[in-house]
Amino acid sequence: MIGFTAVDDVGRVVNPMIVAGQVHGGLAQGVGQAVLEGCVYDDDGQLLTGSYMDYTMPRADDLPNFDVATQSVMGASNPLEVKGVGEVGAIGSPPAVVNAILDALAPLGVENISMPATPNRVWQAIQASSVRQAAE
Amino acid sequence: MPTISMTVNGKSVSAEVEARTLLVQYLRESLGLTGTHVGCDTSQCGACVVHVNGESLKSCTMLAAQAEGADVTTIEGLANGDELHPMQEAFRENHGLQCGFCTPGMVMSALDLVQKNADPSEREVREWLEGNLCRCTGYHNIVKSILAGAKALRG
Ligand code: FES
Ligand code: FES
Repeated sequence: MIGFTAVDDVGRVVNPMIVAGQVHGGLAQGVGQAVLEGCVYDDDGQLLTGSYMDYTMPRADDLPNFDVATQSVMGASNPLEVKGVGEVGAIGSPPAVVNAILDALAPLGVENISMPATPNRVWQAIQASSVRQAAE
Repeated sequence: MPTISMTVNGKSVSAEVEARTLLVQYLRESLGLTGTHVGCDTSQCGACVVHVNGESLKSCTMLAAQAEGADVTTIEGLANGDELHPMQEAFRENHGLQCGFCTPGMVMSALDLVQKNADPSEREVREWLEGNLCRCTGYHNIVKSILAGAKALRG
């Protein structure tokens, strides 16, 4: 991943440093969900992703520096005019990453992919699409 | 039970421990140095990083007995009284932590990086941190803190 820009509406920004930190953390969680993290069970119900080696969280070298901005409409429901910001980056980042992947795969005829879009799933989607195109 | 002796944060310590005791268990449970955290116990998260003879090591991956005679530094050994170590201060200043669980390992790991490479690039910091997981920060401010800490240490 070479870059990531996020813009959020958090109402009144009380502490910009904390707001950016919450967005960063959420972005990393969303990117993880989009391409790395998933619980896998075998047919007997045994969890196969029970360690950090198998349940793949993003590491520092998987991520870029984030570009974070706010575009705020003041919150109307409370006197501080604040809105929630807790890990808010996690909301937009999975669809953004999956859309980027689908955009890259569009010329190959891939229209859909499930999260996490692991290298294996991307390869399978490309294979399935080329088989389908060959059959047409 | 074997008797082990080592230096921890400049103090000589000695104890009888079960042979299977991990270094991290000895530090936390016998010495009460709970700044060193256990996130996984299986060498994957880096929360337990300490320095053994000046090198960063995952203390859940080492038996206490293997540190016999060694010089061990934990996160508690960095500050000078009330004055934070420049790398700790950089984490505080740059919001390099949220829940703080990964932080002791990040700081100890970062200090080993800067003693090997006093002026690392952002990419070099990220690659160095591949053994340290953080669930909260997205790493952005950790990397920023380490770059700031490295700068402060260069003076
Ligand atoms: S507790 Fe040692 S690496 Fe996780
Ligand atoms: S600050 Fe929570 S795990 Fe890093």
